[in-house]
Amino acid sequence: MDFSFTPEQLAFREQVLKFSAKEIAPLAEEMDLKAEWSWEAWRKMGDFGLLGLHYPEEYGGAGADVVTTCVAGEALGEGGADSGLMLAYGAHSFLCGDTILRHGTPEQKKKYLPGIASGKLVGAMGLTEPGAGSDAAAIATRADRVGDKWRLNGTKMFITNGPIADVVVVFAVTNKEAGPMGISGFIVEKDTPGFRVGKVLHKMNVRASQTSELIFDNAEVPAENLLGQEGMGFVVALGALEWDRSALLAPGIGAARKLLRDCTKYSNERKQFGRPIFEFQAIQHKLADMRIYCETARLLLYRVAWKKDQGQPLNHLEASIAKLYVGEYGLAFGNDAVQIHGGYGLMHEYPVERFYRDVKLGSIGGGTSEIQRMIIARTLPGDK
Amino acid sequence: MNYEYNTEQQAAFKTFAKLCREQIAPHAKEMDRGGPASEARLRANLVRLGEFGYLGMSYPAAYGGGERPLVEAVVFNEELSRACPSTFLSAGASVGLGGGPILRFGSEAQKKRWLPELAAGRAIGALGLTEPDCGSDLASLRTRARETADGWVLNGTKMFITNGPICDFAVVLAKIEKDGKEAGMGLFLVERGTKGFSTGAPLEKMGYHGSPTGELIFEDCALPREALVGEAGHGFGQALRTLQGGRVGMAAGAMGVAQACFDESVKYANQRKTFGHKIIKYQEISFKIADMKMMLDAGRLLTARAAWLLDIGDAEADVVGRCAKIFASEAATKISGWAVQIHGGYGYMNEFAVERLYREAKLGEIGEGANEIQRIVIAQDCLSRWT
Repeated sequence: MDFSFTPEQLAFREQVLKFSAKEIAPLAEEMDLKAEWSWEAWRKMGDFGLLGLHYPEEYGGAGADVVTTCVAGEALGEGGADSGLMLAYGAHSFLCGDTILRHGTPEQKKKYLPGIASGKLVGAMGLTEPGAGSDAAAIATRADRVGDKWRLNGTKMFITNGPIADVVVVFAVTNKEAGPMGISGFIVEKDTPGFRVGKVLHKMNVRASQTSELIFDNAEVPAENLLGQEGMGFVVALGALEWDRSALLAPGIGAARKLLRDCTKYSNERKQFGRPIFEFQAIQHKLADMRIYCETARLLLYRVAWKKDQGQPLNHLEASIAKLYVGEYGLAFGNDAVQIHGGYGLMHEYPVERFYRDVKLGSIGGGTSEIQRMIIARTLPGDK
Repeated sequence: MNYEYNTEQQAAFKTFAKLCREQIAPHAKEMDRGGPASEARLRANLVRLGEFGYLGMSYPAAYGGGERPLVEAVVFNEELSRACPSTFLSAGASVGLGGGPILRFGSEAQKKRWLPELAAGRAIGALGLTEPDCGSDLASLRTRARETADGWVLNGTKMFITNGPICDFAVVLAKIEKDGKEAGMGLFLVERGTKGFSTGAPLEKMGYHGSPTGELIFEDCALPREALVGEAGHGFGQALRTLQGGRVGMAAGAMGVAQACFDESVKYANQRKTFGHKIIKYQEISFKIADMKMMLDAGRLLTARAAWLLDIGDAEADVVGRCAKIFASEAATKISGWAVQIHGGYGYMNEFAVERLYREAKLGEIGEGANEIQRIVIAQDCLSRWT
């Protein structure tokens, strides 16, 4: 047992913290308020080398291990990066890019990954549909083989980066009779005829990330854009979901650490009844609970990350535990943070208002808390 | 970074788990009835644990110890508490709280006299901090040690002392009076049989009936000069240092209680049928068990990290230990409540272990410093760190 980070990881953390605080954080408030995508922030992240950090160097990455990748994500959040930007980064680098990295052919990797790593190409992943969320195996989008092409028909829903994506990893049914083993993954490019961005969706939180429907109306995709083996799409998607339940949590945990510091400072400055509100036990107890959350969430995250680095890529149980904890306890954390700020906590001017909205994504996105509990329950001894 | 124990460690945990399962757990129910039979069983358990090397695992080899780091100890502790919380509590109070100050601050003679005996389970130790009128506010204690020409004279009463009624010695925190003036605090080693030292009858309590708790009474109790443990005037800090380990031990113990509740719940939910199905098929049941699993993992990691920080002497060890103690103990009460709920009416009956575990879980939120005082200290740490 050893809970330490390497000196290199700690030094890199400092660099990313500084970068995030100086270059990204100042854009956060406006991005969220206007629900506007920031190419400026995106370019800066790409230039810093954060978008393909864990990809091999030949594909424009730095070959970072998973722990270091999470250290970077945490530092981005802790530096004050907007959660919408962080979600876009997660969907782009992991759900799209990493899926191509792990399952793509050498040609596919060469074609897409350097662009994804630099941020010149924006990636997205399309799994969820209007009628299939938690029950992902029930997707209805079809892909039929016609000559040397696949013809896609269907609609994807709640797709992060949908409106701005150049490359989308899409899952569709290629063999209806085979159930979950009849689903395949495809790489779909923006200008594919028959593929278009549907309704752009306006959200409660992570507003700077762009979300939409994706519509496939006889969209024809070249045969070589099949991602992984035919019929193995569900397995491909599960790998992506595991990133959803690990590395994608890192920026939020970093944001929580920053917020805890902010709350501590605020409670020391804000005076009521003639003294700093910190001196009231009701405030102290909230800060203590927030501290416990930060300590615990981090350990659960890095356990999954470290095990990924040890060659345990599909660690569903521990990834689900991390996701469930961060999602559920994060709600209480956000509530305490707003409560400490009182009326100011409801104002856009304070990042705590944004955090409170953003944190709700944690119990829904990447598999609801209920789904995480189902996954955990499946591992229990005895028959279910 | 490494989130796994090595194979040697895992093998040792497994061997110890087997011993707990086969030799300790079967007696947990009878020990819950208390009384002389329970005390005899506790003493036998301690000897057995001594033979295994559990009791002295953190002590240096020179005193019969195993020199294992705390990050390992928390796993052994959890395993013992899972089998029998009473035995765990008394063992921890003996070697950790009673032996801890001797180990860290005691003289060579004190170490030689007591540590090997504690490690073997032949002697039982205790620590006396709490008093009838002071618990969390430890600085306000009233027990006095008046310095005399050839030693000390102790007066006062200690309350809620684990192992009090059965201890062979107690390490006691008292305010020192020198020439009629207060001179800080000191820890004093008082052996059973010392004139002026008596112990009260076991207190009747909610749980942990197999681990006797009672008062320590000092009436003009004369002690030799060498009864002092560590330095005069440093007793308070020494006591706090002892509690750092105690809190992490308490967190591990709470995880053991919680794990036992989880074990019982999974077993029962796979047997009990309602409406034609095993109840584990219902999300109301399986989701509670999933939450138990999440809390167990989270609490265990936090406890292990706190132990590891103590091992490496990191300054953050204190605050993380408090976090672990709060999280683990509150997880245990929550989980024990769910466990009773999953058992329905049976959960309310003595026959089922969860009834006992529910009563035992509560101690974690109070013992080793109530969670309320822990939260205040954690908040103070935030304030000093970030403002």
